[in-house]
Amino acid sequence: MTLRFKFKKYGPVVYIGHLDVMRYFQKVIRRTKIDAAYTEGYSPHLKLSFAQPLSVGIETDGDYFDLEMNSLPDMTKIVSGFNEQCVEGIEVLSATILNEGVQNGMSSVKSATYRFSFEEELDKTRIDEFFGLDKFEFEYTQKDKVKFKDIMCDIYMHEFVDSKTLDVMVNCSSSGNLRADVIIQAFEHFGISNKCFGYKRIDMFTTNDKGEFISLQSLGEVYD
Amino acid sequence: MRKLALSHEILMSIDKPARYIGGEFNSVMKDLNDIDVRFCMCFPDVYELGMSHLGIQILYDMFNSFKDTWCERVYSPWPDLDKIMRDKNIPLFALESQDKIKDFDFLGITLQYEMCYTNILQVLELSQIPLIATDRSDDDPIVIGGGPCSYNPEPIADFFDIFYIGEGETRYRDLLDLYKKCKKENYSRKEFLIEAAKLPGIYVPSLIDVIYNDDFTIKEFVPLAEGIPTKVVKEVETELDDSYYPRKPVIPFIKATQDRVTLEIMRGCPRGCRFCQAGQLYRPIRTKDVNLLKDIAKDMIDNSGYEELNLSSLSSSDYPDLQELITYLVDYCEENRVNISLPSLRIDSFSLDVMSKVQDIKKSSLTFAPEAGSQRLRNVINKGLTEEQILEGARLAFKGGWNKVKLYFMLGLPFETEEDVVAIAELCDKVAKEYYETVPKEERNGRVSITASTSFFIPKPFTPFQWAPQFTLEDFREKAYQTKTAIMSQLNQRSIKYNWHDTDVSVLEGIFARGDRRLSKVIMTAYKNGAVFDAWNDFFNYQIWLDAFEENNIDYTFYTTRERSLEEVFPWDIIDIGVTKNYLKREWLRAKEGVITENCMVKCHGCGANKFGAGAFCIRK
Repeated sequence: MTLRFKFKKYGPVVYIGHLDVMRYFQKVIRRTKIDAAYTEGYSPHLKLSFAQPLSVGIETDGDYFDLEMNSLPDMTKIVSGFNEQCVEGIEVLSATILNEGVQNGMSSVKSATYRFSFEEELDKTRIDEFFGLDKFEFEYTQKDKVKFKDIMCDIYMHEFVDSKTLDVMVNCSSSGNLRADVIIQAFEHFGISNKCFGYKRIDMFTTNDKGEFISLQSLGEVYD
Repeated sequence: MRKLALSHEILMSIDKPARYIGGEFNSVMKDLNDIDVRFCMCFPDVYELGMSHLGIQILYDMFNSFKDTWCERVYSPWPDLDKIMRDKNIPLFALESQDKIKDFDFLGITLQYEMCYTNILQVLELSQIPLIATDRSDDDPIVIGGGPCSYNPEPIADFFDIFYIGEGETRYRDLLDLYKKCKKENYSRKEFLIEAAKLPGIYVPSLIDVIYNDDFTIKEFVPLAEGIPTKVVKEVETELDDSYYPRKPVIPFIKATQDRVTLEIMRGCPRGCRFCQAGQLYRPIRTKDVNLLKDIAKDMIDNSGYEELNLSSLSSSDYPDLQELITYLVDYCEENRVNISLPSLRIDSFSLDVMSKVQDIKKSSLTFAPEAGSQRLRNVINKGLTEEQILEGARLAFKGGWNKVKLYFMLGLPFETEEDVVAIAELCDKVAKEYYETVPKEERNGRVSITASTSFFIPKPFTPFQWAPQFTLEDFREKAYQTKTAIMSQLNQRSIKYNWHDTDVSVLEGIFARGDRRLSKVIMTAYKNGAVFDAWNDFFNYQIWLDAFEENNIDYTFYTTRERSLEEVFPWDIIDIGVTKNYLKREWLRAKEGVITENCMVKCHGCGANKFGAGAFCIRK
């Protein structure tokens, strides 16, 4: 029996790194006193796994972790119970009782959507033109390393939210993870001068048997 | 939403930005409109170390239980941020409100080890508070020092307005009330300090003049205002059961050095080891009620989510209800999947039984602290542990399946001879031999592994060894070499591993431990020349310090290797810890004779600490 939690992270706590977020949730889970499953041995650990690490300094509206349970708590109170144990800036949004046979988030996540906010109105034609390219090879830096490769194969779709905001869905899987800051670098390289002043992760997706992207939270009964 | 003092760009450019954001679970936020006093607690070292310190957690809990007070925290910014703050002129801020320290009423700095002294100056300077107490204006926070090093605060006397001597639980309320009154009546900083110095436990160094003899020993202490005492009696919490304890500890986001909840079971130690400062400072021995401890442990585990519980005391084996407590905790922790980390328990069948339940025998090791190799020297230091007890403990452990043993020793103890040093190696060999004699060949799980570690002894104030000359760095190195050679020549040398650290720091620790006020300017010079984070090997620069002594014309051997006469007035004689100088003198003379003194549980030797009226073993049954 596995529960999948969706959470958001914003404000000062974005400076907490991924490993510390994991440690944070371990303590939250212990404080809620739910009947989670543990490993055996002298130092038992929760069976907890995160879908995808989030870089330091980035906000998210949709990150996930899976937790194996021995028995289920009162699901109508689980989200509020978690949030009573959370600090300002980390908020559990929903808990899903995963359907039988659903793979864990880490191995099933396929894509993530990021929301980019720009200083000025977006030039939609120019942006459509960029995303319409079959291939966009350029030199960029990622974690202080210089890379040269095509990024278009890792970009799945884009959508204008409003005149200054853009959502982009990118590859976020074991086969490749395109970082959001690389897209900003690509915009600059392509000659879009409008400055992006921030971005955050919106949600993460897997694919159903038809190959359609579906949110990681949707693979079972959702409580929020 | 809380605002942050540092920009996104800065936070993204430094190591572990979570050190500086506050907002941890159980950290306390208050509305400035509801409070009169802003108190900032500082541990002058990096966040992860500071967050591991129990004393601040207790005081944080206490201050924030006062409706009119908001207590926040600050730690030393790591050198990467330090540089940015200086370059951009960003003032140091408290974690909770992210407000400037300079705007606080009090900055309380805990003094846990001597090598943090330059970090105090770093914190003051980054806070934009004048480094010298007497240069501060009425608008600057009152800077208070407390903790173990405040029992000889003289080397850092120039930097502090107040030293709070003793346990914080008892007198802070009075001090804050006085502060509020003085503020209301528009007292100047100095007028407030004069009133504060009349409170018990409060020492204001600027109101005491130290007069020296020609040889720089102290002649006398002269009060500079009327009604200022020249003896400050330490504060003692006599009712530990009714006192403060952090049942909702602040949970750091990043991993603290001590990543666990700590349960303090008693204060003080009945053993009376002559090298140990804590053993004298924290007298009389006070124990907490076992049922209260069970309740606190449960609350702390529930409120924190920590995976480990740690018992804290100087000598847990002497806690009267230890069996009941541990039996309960082991069960509770197992049920709640919490590891229990056992303190240094005396090795006997009970402790081995408990350890076998909570640890993997194959992986864990047993620790003995004989401190000295020979029985003669153990008698000198009054370490009430005999060779037979050590070997008996080892035998029991080997029978129980353990095969790793750690032995801790000190080198450079007073009256130590070459035979005593060689005896360290011999004792290790005897323990190894015990293994091969106890465990039949077919039951052995590989070779026995013995790790001997030595540290260098530094004489500390308020111990019988406060009169002892410290050995020189060369002596220390020679002794470590002798130990190594002696271990190499043992029959079982292949089973014995020897660890020691070469450390110039020992010399400095020794200087500051028994230092006087003349050292403030040396610390200032060293800091100005770049010394900071001296407790960190990577940053410690011995040469800066040697130069600082030279620049200020101070011969540091005055503080370390010098013979002190029994009549000498010590810089720390301005403080009264209850244990009398006469008692310490008697103990020093007994040490010279190699005569042991029984522990407090066996017999009272009139150390003087019973005057506080709280000692668990002070009242004869």
